[in-house]
Amino acid sequence: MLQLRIPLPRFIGSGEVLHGRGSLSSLRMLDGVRVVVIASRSVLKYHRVLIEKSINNLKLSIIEYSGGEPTLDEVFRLAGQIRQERPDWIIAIGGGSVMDAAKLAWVLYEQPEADFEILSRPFALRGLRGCCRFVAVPTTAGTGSEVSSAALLSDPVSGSKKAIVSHELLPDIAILDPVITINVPKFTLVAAGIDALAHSVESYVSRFNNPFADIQIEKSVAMILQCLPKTISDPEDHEIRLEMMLAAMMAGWAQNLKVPGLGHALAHQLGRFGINHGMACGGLLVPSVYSNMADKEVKMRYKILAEKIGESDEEGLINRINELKVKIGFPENLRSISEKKFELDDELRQIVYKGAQSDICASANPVVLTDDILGEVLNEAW
Amino acid sequence: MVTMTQESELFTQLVTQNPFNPDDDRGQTFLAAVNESYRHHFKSCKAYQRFCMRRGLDEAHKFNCLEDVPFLPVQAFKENADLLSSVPVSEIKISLSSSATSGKPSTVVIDKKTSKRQIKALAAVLSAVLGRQRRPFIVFDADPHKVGAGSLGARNAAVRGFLNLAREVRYVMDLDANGKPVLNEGLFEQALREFVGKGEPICVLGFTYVLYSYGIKPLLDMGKQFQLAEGSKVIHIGGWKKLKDQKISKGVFNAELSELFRIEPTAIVDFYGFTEQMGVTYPDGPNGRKCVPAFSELIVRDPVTLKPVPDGQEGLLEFITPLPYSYPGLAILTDDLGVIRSRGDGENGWRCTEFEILGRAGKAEPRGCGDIMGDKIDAPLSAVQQSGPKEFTEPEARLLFDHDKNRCPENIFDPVSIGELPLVENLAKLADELKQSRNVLDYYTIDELICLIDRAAQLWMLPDSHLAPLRTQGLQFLSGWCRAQSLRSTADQSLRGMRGFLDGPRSLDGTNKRMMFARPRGLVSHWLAGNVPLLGMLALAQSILTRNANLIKVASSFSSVLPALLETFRDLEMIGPKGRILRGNDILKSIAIVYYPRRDQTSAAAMSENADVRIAWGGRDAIESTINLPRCYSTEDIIFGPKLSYMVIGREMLETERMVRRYCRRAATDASVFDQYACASPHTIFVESGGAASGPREFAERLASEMDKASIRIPKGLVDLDTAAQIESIRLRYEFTGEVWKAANSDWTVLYDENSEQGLADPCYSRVITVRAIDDIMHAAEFAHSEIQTVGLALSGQRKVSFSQRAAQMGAERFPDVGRMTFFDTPWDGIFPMDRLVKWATIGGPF
Repeated sequence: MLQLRIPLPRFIGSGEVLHGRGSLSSLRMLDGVRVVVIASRSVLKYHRVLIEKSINNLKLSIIEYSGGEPTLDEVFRLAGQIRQERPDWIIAIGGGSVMDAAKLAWVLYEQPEADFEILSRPFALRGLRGCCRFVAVPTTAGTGSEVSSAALLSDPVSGSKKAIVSHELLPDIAILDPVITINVPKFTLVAAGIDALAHSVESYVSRFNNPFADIQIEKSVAMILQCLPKTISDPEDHEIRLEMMLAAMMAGWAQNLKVPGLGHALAHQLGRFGINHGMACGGLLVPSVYSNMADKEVKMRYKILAEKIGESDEEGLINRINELKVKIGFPENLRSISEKKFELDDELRQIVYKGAQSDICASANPVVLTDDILGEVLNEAW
Repeated sequence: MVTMTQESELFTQLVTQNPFNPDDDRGQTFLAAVNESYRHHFKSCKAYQRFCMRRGLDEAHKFNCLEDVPFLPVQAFKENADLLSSVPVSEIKISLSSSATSGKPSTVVIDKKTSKRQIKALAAVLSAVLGRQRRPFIVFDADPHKVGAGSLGARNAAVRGFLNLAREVRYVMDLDANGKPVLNEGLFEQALREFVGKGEPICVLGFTYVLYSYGIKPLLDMGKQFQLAEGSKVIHIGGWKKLKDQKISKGVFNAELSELFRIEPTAIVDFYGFTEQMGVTYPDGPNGRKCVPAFSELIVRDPVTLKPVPDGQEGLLEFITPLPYSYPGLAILTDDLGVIRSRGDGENGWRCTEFEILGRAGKAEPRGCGDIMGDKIDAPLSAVQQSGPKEFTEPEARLLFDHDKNRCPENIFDPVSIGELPLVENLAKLADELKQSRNVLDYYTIDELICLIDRAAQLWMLPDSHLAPLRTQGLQFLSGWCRAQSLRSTADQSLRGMRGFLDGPRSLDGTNKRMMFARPRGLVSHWLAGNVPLLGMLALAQSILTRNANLIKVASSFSSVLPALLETFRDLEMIGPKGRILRGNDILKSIAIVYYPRRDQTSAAAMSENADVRIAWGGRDAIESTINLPRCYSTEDIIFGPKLSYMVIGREMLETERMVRRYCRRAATDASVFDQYACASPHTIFVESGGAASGPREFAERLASEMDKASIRIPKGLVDLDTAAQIESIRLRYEFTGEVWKAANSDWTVLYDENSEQGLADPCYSRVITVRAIDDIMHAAEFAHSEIQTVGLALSGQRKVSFSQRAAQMGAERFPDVGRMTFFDTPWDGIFPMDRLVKWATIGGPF
């Protein structure tokens, strides 16, 4: 990979992307000797046999990841288990949390002295793959982890998240097999799907110019608007499921290359209140689009995006998003999503605003995020 | 050129008085003769004139003090004999060259007048020692008339000078087929019968080494003894170097001679002298000390500052004599170290300066330094086989460091008391124990080992670390190199792109049917050089990462640095993933550092025979003696041998002021790091003519300014006496032939010349850099050869590639950017050292 000193638009992603029904079987060709699979409990519950059949290496170890957003303790535990196996491949199968946990454990396996405080500086992480490579098999369509250069580490005490960003974290292989996404709960499908839409829509107006990613966004928005309701209404339809996975991956590319903005900057702060990331993004999407459209250039950009999906103007785009939310049964506001019922008082708001303003997504947003802007968007979504 | 037709009255006055009990006004006469000689050489020798003018002197200058007379080092006569002439070529009778047992000979040109003065001077001294009566001489050497003067080299000229006082001469040796002198007993006994039979005192003459080794010793071995007539003398010349190498002291020499000829030791006279002031000799006086004759004077100079030192203090010997007329040998700074013991106190009737010679300041030679890894030098099989059963010597190995304890002083600059260290009775057993202890490393992944070394490297750099003084002497670099990121990168590059091969089988052909893994070789024996103890860690770290055991032999001049670095691992604990504790002590379990003297061949052989890999550091001698030790046939050798490096600056990189500044600064860094003792340090910089912002000479001038700044940024280590003398010599040499910019002390020196056709300048080390102008930089690629390690490049585009390819064909291996020459990287010297520390195994296939 070129070490660029200037932010030129470029396209990078996982080394190989294999997709289609049965593509999981490509793991049989994995050239490793010892393989560790890290998968969530639910994936193993339904697909353990399929996974075991799909892997043909001399030694296979399966580690169950208990789920949840990865914490330091969890990642250390996982790295210790990986270390015992000394694998040359790590295969992560699951949603965004599993992917992130596996990626961070991979870092610790190869670099036991790694300090995540230091590695949270963008692109500070270097030199993976001296011992091991990484396969991502997403079971949800939305997070884009399979093509993401980032992994999020949660602090269970403060509820804050630390993003480790490095292109080293891009998986060597990503496999999109709709078969392994069967039996995913509806809530997860909704949250992941709307998150993918937010990746695309927010990234479209990012400060980081990338025309090639814009093409992916235009395509992915159209596909998500079309496929997401069908995926939810007919979970067994593999064709639609695959369409949705491809759309989510394109949204993931967009997120990775252009970085989303306001909505994601705020959503990253709401995890501490028990609000699911995807749902938060979904709730904040329309208010943040409206807020950013106060800028004429942003408004123009959204008009272009609307035209690409067959609408005449930006209002058409917003209407399509709102219609989607209704179709998939998305809650009306964030307050109703929150696991912890609480009110956002001034003190909490200040924490949220500060966090959002220092979030990496804030730097990509086309408009500077003031307390007033954040307050308006949050109020609208809340 | 002006010539003097009349012999100097002043010199005549000096040479005709008693050389060791001179007239009272000898001091004034001597000073006047020196001033006269100075003016003559100033007028007659352009190089000398240039040399003096650079010191602010003119022809009319009058010296009131001998210490102010500008002196030339003896080395000046090795390179510049053609420049150092004060008479027209037509007047030169002969060129006189020294025997030069090592390096280049000194050469001086002799005219008739100088020749006559030499004869007079030698006769004056000999008369004082032997008396005015001519006597028979028995010469322990071959007869030049029989064997040809050429066969005897410089010995013939030296001996001939002494024979001017001989009544009759008998040579008593022949030369064998190899030109080695052999005593002809028949000739010797015949000569003895002839002279001793008459009861006549004789003089036995010979070169010290020849006389002893081929004369005295064989005769004593045969049980011979002779009685010379009373008043007989033995005089010998030529110096002690060879006999010192054989551990023969002057005491032993005199005792054996006294026994053989039944004469008093006082009748044995050693004469000191040197080619650059041939004719002036310094015999042993009644006190057994060397005596300075009236037509010479001695000044002892501090080897570092070159300032005169008080009598009684050791330093370099400078001799002043107005004798040489045909060349500017008026004041010569020798390589000899000595001390003045008295100044003409009249004891025993000798009123002259008395001195002792303490040794010789050595000549710098290419160093075998620690930051190079040379090509594998396979000991010839014959050498391995012939090494066979070695003579058993009592093992004398001492244990400096092991997992139990660091036995070196905590202050790394304190000397180690070898005698107080425990003896290693059985080095083979120690090697076995280390191999056993190595097993614990198998429970570590390579990344966990990297993690521990990374932590130690951080501790080395703590502000309160007792290693702090080493920061500017390479520790900073070493520490950076031992950080995790760097070690990982080195390991990946060395091990087929994936360090994980050390942790278990990995796919070989992109399938899961053929696999490969790397395993440690076992025991790595390291022979470290004394001059670069820090850099021993570079190989040791790689050996630890490949999970080998390590037995390290330090050099006699070792310091406590490596043990101190390793001590950091003691009790070092880190929590790895899943709470696993990584322990520095586990690494130390398989490491030991020992020392044994050179004579201890038993320990050397044990260390070699038990090694699976031998890593040798040092100069040529050290390397060769190591690789010739017995070893297993499967043993891998990695040689850190003697290499040199240079730098090239293309005109395209000197287009702007900024570029010139940048490359001067970077070049100064390369020439200053490790005080230029690294094998990757440049000694010559070729600068291409035609740069828009700077030509080669301007580059040299600016480089000087950057070298000065670098001496603050990278403080220089202590300079030994030999090196200081060498630096001063080379500075002076360039004052004859080129240009010099230098620090007031010996900190740095920039030399400039336009002799690119001469190729690489001889290395002097210690921040002495020669800038050479060159018309086409591509020609500098031709100067590379198999002993050139690094060529620092400031070239661009295709020229950079073409130059590198050509120089690589010639033998060089690294072509880093200027400013980064001494950064250790992989591969080094054309090899991946870590790759040589493992064995590869495959599973499955082949397909």
